[in-house]
Amino acid sequence: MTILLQTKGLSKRFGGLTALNNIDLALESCVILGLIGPNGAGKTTLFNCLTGVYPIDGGDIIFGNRSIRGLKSHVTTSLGIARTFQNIRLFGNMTALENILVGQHCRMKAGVWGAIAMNRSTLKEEKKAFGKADELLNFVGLNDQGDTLAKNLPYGDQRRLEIARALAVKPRLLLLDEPTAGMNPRETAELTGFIEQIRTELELSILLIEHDMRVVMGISDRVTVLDYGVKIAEGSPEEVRKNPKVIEAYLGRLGTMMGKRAVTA
Amino acid sequence: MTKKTQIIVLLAFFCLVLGPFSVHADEWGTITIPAGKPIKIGMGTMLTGDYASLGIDIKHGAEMAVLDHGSILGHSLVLQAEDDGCSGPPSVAIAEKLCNDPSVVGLVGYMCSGGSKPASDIHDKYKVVMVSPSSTALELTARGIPIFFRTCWNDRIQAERAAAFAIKRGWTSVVVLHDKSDYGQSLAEDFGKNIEKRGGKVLASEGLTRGDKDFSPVLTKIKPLRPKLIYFGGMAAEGVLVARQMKRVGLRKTHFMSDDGCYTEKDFIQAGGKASNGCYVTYAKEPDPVWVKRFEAKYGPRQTFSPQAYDAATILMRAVEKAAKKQPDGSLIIGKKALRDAIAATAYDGITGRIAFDAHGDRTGSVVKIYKVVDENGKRFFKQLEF
Amino acid sequence: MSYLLNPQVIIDQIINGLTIGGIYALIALGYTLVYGILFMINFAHGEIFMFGSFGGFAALTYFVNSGFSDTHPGLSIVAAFLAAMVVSAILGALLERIAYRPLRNAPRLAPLISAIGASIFLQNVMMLIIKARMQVYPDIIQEEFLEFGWFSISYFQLFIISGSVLLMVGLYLFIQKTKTGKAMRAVAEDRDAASLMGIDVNRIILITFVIGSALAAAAGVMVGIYYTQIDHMMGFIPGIKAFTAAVLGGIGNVPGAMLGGYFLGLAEAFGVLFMPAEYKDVIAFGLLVLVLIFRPSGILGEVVSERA
Repeated sequence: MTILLQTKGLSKRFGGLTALNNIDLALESCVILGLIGPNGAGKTTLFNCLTGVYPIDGGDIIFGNRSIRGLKSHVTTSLGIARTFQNIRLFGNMTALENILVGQHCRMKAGVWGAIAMNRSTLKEEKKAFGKADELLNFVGLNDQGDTLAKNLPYGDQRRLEIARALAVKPRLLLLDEPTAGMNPRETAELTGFIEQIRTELELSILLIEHDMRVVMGISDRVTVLDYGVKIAEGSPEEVRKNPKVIEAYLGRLGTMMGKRAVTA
Repeated sequence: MTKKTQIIVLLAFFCLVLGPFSVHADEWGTITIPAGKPIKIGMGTMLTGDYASLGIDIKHGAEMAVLDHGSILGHSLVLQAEDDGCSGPPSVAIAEKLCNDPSVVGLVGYMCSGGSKPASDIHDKYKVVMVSPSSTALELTARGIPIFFRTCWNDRIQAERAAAFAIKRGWTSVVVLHDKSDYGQSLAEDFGKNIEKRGGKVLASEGLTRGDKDFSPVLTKIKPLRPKLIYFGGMAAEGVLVARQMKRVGLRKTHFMSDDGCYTEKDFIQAGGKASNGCYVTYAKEPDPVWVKRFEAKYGPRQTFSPQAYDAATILMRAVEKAAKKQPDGSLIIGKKALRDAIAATAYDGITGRIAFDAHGDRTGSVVKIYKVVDENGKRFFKQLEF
Repeated sequence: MSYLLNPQVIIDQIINGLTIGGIYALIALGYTLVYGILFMINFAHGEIFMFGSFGGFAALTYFVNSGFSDTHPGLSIVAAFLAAMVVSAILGALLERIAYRPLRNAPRLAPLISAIGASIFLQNVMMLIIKARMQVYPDIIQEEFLEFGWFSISYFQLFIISGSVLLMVGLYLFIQKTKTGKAMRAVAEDRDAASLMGIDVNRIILITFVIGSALAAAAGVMVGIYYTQIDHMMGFIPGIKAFTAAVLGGIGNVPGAMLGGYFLGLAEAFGVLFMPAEYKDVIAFGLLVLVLIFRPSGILGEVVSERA
């Protein structure tokens, strides 16, 4: 299996605080990697470093066969890294369909002049983009919501739409930041199945931040655990579940509730 | 102190303090131009901005006079022109600057009445004479300021002549517009009074903002009044837009008349194009054609007040010549009151006609003529009408 | 007063108001587009409008001198519009790159001060170029009128009204339908999320400046043709009035800017019926004060950022 994403000694500091310290990570293609850790462990910071939102202070990030260190967000995105957000960040005043079309932005060639001239290749491309967007809407089960403003969609649908928008980028790597946050058990179960489906049907790798241990342990091929910006464990869900360091990280600091779930899930 | 020393001290005192007065006594003080140093003629006129072509024309007129005159009693002449912005604050600043310059003998300016009025107070304080070629507002010579003179006319004459002409043409219902300046507003109001005195009717009076470009709304408001004449008191930049936009809003049978501010080839006829056809303005009688030829060969087409500026500068220089006293060391001493009196006593045939001043500083016997923009033989120009 | 309310005056004032309103709206769009994306007021926008007007003036003067305008008057005017738009677009892009981008993450006051500085700088540059003299647009086409019995409309007015509407419809379609337009809306809503969707945010901001500037340039040439006089200070009052129009409609809101422009134009035209004409400018700024007191987010409402 080829390695799609690799970080070597990745470090990120905010002033005196070391948010990520010397993180080594490797992700093969077509694999779901769960990323867990207590609040403030540096999971979202890692996403932001991978997608170029934050410049990194040390180490390197290899995507495919090149370093993407220091590249801007829109470049990493066009290379094939797409993501969703912990708190949904759809373009609320645009329709569901338009949100997906924006996702396709970097895959389209026509520029401003094409838009002004309205030449045939532009129109053809636009038409194709609409077709693709419809497909994606169908894929996430929002077939008849295309013209609804994103801000007017129910919460669960917004989560799905955000994933659809990320998929419109045609990513090779999908970063999902707590996709089931705020969902009820039924919705969570549906979404979990859907993530599996994405992986198998679209053949892409997924890096998943998730607090719901049932979800993480259920669909991850491998799990990495961060604590205080340091990788403390890595392995199959089974191995991680039994790792004493992990149990301590959760039990020691976050109380029994979280710990029990981590261990028994 | 002995009696002898007391007498010596007293004598020394008289020699030191009263000595100069016994020779060049002047109750307003004196201006001293050191030997070999030039005499400066100050000038305040608009060099940048919307009416700059008018102001630069004035500067050219004065410049030509200075060059023609050459020198005074062995001292060379320098024209120091400053930008007075056609308004009060910069004119006052120039007045303070030039009145405190020991080599400035007097000033030609300021261009606009709104500048001349506050600046003349400063000139009065320092008793530095000023001769304006273009400030026509009524009140300038009615304020008892002895150092103010002008080679142009007084707006009382301009308003009277314009109103008499309008009534004679049968334009008895008029609308009066002005640019809210000291010059435009007083002239327009005076015009209105003259119209009513002669049995005409002023249907409306409106103020416009200098620098504004859109007068269609106010002209549309005037339209239903069906005036026979719109009189505008102000400058060409706005005047030409009023003339243009009158046609636009449909006031096509109404005549347009304005003042000397609009008597400019460049800013009124050229800028107005076809819309300037048939417009009336008031101005002095045409200056000496020989001079005009000479001027235009040097500076290109004349606009408005260059002849008046030429005469103003010439009068000032001739008065300096008369009042200046050459000292043995080659310096010049000019009594300020003597200079003022020399100007007041002017009797001189200038290129704009005979120039003399009345007790208020107004030019005596000035005439205002009516001009109409006509298009003859493919050329558009101001044609003097017989009136 | 009653004589003022006859249908002829009302129709005439509507025409006057729509003409100047269309110009205000075109300029206002530049303010609103930039505000929508960057949450800053580009106070140098009036100067971009002024440079556009001079760009068109330079082109027209060239055509007059070369005799091209005698044979192809229509083409000369189209070319003047294009020249003006290019001049302003380049200027707008330079302004963004030099005066605003380095301050993108600075406190909000910094780019505002930079904008005011740029505005004064550009005024002075043009003052040096034209030696502070008023310039007069050449009369390439004589103004003719379309008569309808008791009222008439000038071809110039018709041209400005329809031209501004056309440009605005074009802009609206561009923003709504095209890929770049959608990207502009996405950046306006959430700059970081848009970037993470593969949109080059800097490029979109640059395009926004270019489009806003080109619209202002079109307004500049219209003003030149319609009012004939242009000078280096010509951007100041229309700039502030267009800003007022943008705030009236709800700053950041594209249809709002259009509506605000027409509203202001009509308010000015009808306002002089009820008060002396010298207070025309007072109407605009009086309206601004009233709107800011009673409806601070404008008629159509401000587009509030998700982040704000």
